[in-house]
Amino acid sequence: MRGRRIIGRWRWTATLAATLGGALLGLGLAASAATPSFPIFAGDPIDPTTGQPYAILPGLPLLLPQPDGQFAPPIVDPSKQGDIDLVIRAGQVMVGPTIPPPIATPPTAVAGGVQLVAGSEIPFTVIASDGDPTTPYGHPLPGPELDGIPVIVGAFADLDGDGVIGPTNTDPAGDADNARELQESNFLVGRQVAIFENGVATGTIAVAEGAPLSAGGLRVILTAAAFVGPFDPAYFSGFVPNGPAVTTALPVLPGLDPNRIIEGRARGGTILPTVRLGVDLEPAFDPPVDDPVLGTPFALPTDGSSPTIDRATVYSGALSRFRFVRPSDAAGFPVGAPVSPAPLYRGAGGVLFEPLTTVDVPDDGPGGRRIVRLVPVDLLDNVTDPPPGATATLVAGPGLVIASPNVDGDPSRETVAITTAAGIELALDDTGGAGDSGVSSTLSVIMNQGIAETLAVNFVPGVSSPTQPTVRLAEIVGDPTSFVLRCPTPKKVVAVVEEPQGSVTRVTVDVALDGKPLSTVDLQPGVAPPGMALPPGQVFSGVVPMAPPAQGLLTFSLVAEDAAGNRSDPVVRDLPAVTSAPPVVPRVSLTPSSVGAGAAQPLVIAAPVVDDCGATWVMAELDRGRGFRRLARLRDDGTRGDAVAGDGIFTGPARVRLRTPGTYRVRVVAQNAVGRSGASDPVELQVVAR
Amino acid sequence: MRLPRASLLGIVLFLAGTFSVHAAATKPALAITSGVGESTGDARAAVFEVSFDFLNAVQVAYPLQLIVFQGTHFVRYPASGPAVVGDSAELADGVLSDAEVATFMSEGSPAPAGVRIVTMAPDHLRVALPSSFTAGATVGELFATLAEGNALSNTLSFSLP
Repeated sequence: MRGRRIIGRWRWTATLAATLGGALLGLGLAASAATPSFPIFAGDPIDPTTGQPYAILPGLPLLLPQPDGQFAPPIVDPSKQGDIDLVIRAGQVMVGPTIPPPIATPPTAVAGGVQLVAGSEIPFTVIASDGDPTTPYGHPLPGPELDGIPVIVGAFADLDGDGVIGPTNTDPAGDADNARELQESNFLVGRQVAIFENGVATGTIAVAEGAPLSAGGLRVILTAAAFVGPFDPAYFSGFVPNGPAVTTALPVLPGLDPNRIIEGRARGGTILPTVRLGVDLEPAFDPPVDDPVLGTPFALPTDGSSPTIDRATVYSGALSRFRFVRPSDAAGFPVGAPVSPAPLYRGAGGVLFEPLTTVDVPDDGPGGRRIVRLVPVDLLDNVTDPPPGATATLVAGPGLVIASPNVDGDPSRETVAITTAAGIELALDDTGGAGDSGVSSTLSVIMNQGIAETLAVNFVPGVSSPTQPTVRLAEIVGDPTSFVLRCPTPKKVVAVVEEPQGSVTRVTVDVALDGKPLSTVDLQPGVAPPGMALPPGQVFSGVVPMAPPAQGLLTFSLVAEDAAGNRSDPVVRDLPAVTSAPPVVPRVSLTPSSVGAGAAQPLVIAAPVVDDCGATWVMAELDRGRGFRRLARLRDDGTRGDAVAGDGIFTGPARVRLRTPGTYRVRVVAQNAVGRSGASDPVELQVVAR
Repeated sequence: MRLPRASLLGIVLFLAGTFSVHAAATKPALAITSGVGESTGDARAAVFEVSFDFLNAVQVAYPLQLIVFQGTHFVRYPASGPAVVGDSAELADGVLSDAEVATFMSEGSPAPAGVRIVTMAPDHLRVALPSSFTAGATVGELFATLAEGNALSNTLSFSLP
């Protein structure tokens, strides 16, 4: 091992429900300890005041507190650099003479683990390393020196999906969301203990947070830390190794004093993966960003490029209820404010939500609606994909109406189907006229005869106009079913925005792949594309170029903003990115749809063909009772019955002679430039007796 | 087989009578800081702001239970597993005490399917209450039966609408 060592006071204490056992991180322990017997410390710089190796994060300089014990700011000693002592890999890894790289395909799990819900856990392997700088990860240390020493594995979540755990200026939001990103670095989303045996510790960890499968899930990183030293009965009852801590890379520098983090001075029993573990993560200071000396040392990438850590993807669990949310606003996390845990939910399209528990509705009579979003969540409140047929019944309290949706004419009660993780938007309004709805009301969500959520509504004086625009329609033109990587084709997006003053000035589209931002495009005011029937409102459209690097789920999150700066709730559309795809023929029209039997009859067949690679051959086929046979070739060149060249609608004339009255099936088959073919669903041609 | 040193030490201390494994284990600090009742038609629910060992509840089999009761009528929600509803004389004084836990745990019968924990978050629990609960004074309490003894929270009274 080279010079490095870990941290400061991250304490991972073990409070066992059974008690505390030993593992923790700590640092700064004033102990005696026999470091020479632990090869993991070989070559590490020694703290002359303790005789123990310094705790230094791998790849970082030594960071020390000021004389008052506070890291405000930390004292940086660049002459001492941390090496690699611990490496964690997702999965159960067989460790040979070398330490494997981070896993190529991160494992997946379902949030909540297996104790509370029918979720799953992430397998991991922690490997002690000699820190050999000539290798990427060092060599394994297979000796028995660490046997019995607990190692704590901690999981951190990339809540905003920017590919980095913790604050960074390199994401699309720059420094605007750095305070919010402290939620990623300063709080664990799961932790577990494993016990070293021959330099390796394995186990599985449950993670409490997840995101919808349809949104690509939630990326988490796995980290590890352990105190290394002998078990001394006079030191924390002999359950915490008496020595300095070693760790993988971490998204924050933990604090230092084990006396403050180990419950009951470790008077418990043996620490085990199956007993309660007390973990107290106390950041010594918030991770710096673009610091003149340190840079951004704690921001950890989730792409597998950080050598000592690994990652996994966590999906939300089964639907438990529906709840109201609002888009998270980074401005709601002021820089410099004390950091306490704040619920953030990664939803459809990677949109980050916060809980919505109260809403103000203007008591101004008709108009002045307030839009709220209801999303499906699992038992742990993670936004999730609902099962087919999921419904919720909304019940408005006195003075409140559900203005939209309202399909049954009763604005006080509405049963709605919720088919995606994006949930639904509801428009709330007050009853009667101005100033007659009282002070407050509620909107209850009933699910399986139980109350799943209650939104508190405060009636406020107000102008009879919405305070925010609403995206009433968002469509990817042409109804594509996928984005084909082999034939990358920009997509045109159309939005219709409702805002009584017509003062919407901007509609932006944030494109992401599996939640990772790709690009942002401003749509331009315009008119409806030909053939599209749009609801009333301001129309915006634009072409969205993109170059997804791999297969995944592309999401398009649209947000409208008016002249006053009011922003709409995001509306998300998604599109799978695939290597290749067959042509899609979504519908077929026959003109006429009924012909006479006996004589040859003219028939025009038309069908849109959706294909990024370009349809090269489109054929109508007729089933006369013995399978489909070619009927006519369809074209999109403006000739032979095709009205408009290149509009994606393939048309062709045919003459059919069917002797027997009845119903015959017609379909359209298309083939594209890369040899993939697809067919429409059959449509019926009626043949009647003459 | 080589015993982990911590385990070995625990055994030694246990045999020496100076320290028993788990005997001095810290108990989770359970607390309910607020409770709010909800009603719509015949449906009732309660939401509690709580402090409990959330990550441990997720990772290990941590036997956390929430009880909600009106007089002696109760519903008990294990953190994992179906809810139980019934009546218990142990609750007549308005609190479930350490000595009453064992008896209380044997009382009640499975609750209807819709009676369940709806949300378990680090700082709050939402539960669907049985239809046998009516408007009026209601009490919530958390407890856990652990090897080193029972851990109980404060009781919190609130009005169910």
